[in-house]
Amino acid sequence: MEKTAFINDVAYAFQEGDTILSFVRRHLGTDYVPTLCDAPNLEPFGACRVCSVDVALAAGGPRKVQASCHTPVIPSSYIYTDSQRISKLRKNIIELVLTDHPLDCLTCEVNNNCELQTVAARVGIRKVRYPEGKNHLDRTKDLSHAYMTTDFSKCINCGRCVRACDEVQGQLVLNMAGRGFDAHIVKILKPPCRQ
Amino acid sequence: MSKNLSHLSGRQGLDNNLFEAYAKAAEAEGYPSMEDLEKLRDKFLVGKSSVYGAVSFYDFLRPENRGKKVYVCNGSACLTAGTQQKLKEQLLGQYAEDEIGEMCCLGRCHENNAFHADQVNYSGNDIGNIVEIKKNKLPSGETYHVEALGAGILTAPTGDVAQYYKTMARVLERGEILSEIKTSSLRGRGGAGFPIAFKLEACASQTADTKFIVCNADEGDPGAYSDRYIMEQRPHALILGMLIAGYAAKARYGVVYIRAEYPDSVTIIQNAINEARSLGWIGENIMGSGFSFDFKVIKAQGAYICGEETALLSSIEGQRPEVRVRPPYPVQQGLFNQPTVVNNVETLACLPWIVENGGSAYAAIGTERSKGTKLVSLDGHFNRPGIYEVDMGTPLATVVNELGQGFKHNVKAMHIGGPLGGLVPAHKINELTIDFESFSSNGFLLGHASVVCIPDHFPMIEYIEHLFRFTAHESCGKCFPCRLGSTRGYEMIEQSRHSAYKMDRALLDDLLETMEVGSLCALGGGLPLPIKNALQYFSEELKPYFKA
Ligand SMILES: Cc1cc2nc3c(=O)[nH]c(=O)nc-3n(C[C@H](O)[C@H](O)[C@H](O)COP(=O)(O)O)c2cc1C
Ligand code: SF4
Repeated sequence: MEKTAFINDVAYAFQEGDTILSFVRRHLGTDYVPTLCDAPNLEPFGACRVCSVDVALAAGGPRKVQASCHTPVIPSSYIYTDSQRISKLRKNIIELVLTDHPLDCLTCEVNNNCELQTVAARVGIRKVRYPEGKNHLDRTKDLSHAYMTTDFSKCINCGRCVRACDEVQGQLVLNMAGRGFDAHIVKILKPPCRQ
Repeated sequence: MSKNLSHLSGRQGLDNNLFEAYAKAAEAEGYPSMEDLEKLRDKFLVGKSSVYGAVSFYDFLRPENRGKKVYVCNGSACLTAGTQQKLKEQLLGQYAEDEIGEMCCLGRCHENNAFHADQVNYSGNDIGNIVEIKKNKLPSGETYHVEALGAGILTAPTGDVAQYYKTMARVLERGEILSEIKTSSLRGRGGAGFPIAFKLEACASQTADTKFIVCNADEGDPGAYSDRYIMEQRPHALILGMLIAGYAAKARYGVVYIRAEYPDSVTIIQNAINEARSLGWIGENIMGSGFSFDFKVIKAQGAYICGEETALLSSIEGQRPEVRVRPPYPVQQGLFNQPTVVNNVETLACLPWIVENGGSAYAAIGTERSKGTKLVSLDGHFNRPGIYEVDMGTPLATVVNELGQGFKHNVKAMHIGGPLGGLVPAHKINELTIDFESFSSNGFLLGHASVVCIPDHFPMIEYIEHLFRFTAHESCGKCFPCRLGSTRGYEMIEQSRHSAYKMDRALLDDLLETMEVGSLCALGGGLPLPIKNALQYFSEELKPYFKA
């Protein structure tokens, strides 16, 4: 028998090994649930939490917020992708991201081609309410490499570059360093080991 | 978490451990040099960014640790006891400002005034001997009261060591011990209360060459020192408990991951392991049974998040200790990608008694759903601070008034269960009993059952500022709600306390909800509980810090 679960109260069949995110995407499209740290070919990471959804084990049962990218689908569960509290959560997370991000979209070189901008517009962020605090806006651009340029003042710590370097390239050139608010990407461009 | 790094680190085995190599490299200067890191990169065939990224995570491996000679405890109990400032002034007589660092927390919550110098912890009146301590590394004069009310399982002396390990002979004879542990209904004491038998069974059923039992001895909760008590006063209960768990889970190695803030625990546990080994209870083919089990002690390097089990595993592997997503669970893919059971010190230390007296005898103690006994740590605000063992279900009032003999001065709230536990206002003392259900149904958390008191005169705003600062400092930085939210929350409270800024209640509520439901782990997810308790029970006191 085919296993099913409900997305916004409609039943769909899911496959063995499906995460909630892969399940929703197969039936309702890749952009149905917004994400910032997920990427094709990389293991689920669970950092941005923007993909969170509400899940109840039975119709009308108590709901729990789960990050869809790393939570397996439970048979006959009820998944709500856009409940009020999920919309609020996404908006509040993006607001936090914007407290440490330049607000210069119009002059930014990736204006209109930026996932953060798209998600921010989608969740309807109007203004940042937090008082001014620590930030990383003064980091300078690194143009030293032939084709990898970086502007860490705009980095949101999604960790995708670090994971691609490790999981896809097996290089271990990039990593995060420090912890908490100071966590940041480091590049150590040297072969990982002597052959 | 990188599976590649787990694999590369695991190839070297436990004896040649990458994480320990970091600490070794840091011995001379207080942090490892770039050349040291390059050597480790070449030896372990990882990236320089891999080792640099890991090292830069830890308080005691960072360049900021350079030249530190003495560390003042900045834990919650020393904070509310108000001993830190004076202690620091006294230390300044002997040390330069930049030689004084901070540690959180030394587990001397019963007598406060705690500091660490040259691998020794001090507290209480020790500071009076600072000149001698600096010169001759005196031992600490620490003492604390220990008492059991009820069954007294963990505080009972383990007695003659050779005799004590006979329990293991009975395990080997029976050949099956899991059912006994199941019957006991023992639940994890590290905070989450998960039944240990499930994990042992799941691990046993996995096919893998090498499985691990990892003892979480990172006891990071400021205010808690009950795991320290077990390690230092009842070390064989833990070692034997791990042997039993190893046998039940079909594991080959036991790793004890002990925080660096407890130097005595590290030594005592290592000595106990040596003793058990010399008696033939550790090693290959133990007593001719075909069961082989070995131990490894690992000393941590200063990061609260390493108490979270998946971060702990990455730490042992020499990776950045960032919290991992689940699944896979550690019993499926844990240390070095192998099936692993992680349990708290106190949980594991219960196993010898369960084997010896039977699971049903254990299950006869306690409440319907919380079985056995629980250690409670009382801080220096009590007339008789110390470690108390009570049967689950014992009224909190009994612990406070009879065992602790009441408070030294008026206390408005008790912070129970660590930094992520609830703030219990004094008027609720009579409503709670020491068990998981009583606390959770009243909107609090039993956690590891540490009790830190907040006296009447201690400002609540300062306490919640401390909690946010702690979380911001200890956040692993992986998930957005906690990495950003803990710092923004700290800034809001700090600014409202020290400037004309007033907090917007709706914004603070939004922040707390975002952290609570959005965070990946219970650090970011747990902080909102005590903050919400403070806002609920101390709203009048906190009012001036908010916009009207
Ligand atoms: C932020 C954080 C800190 C933790 N610190 C500890 C700790 O210091 N000691 C501990 O045993 N468990 C700690 N835990 C719980 C562990 O993740 C894990 O649940 C526990 O070690 C499992 O053992 P138990 O079932 O015996 O309690 C912590 C969890 C979190 C989220
Ligand atoms: S809640 Fe904090 S500590 Fe836990 S994973 Fe997120 S950033 Fe790390």
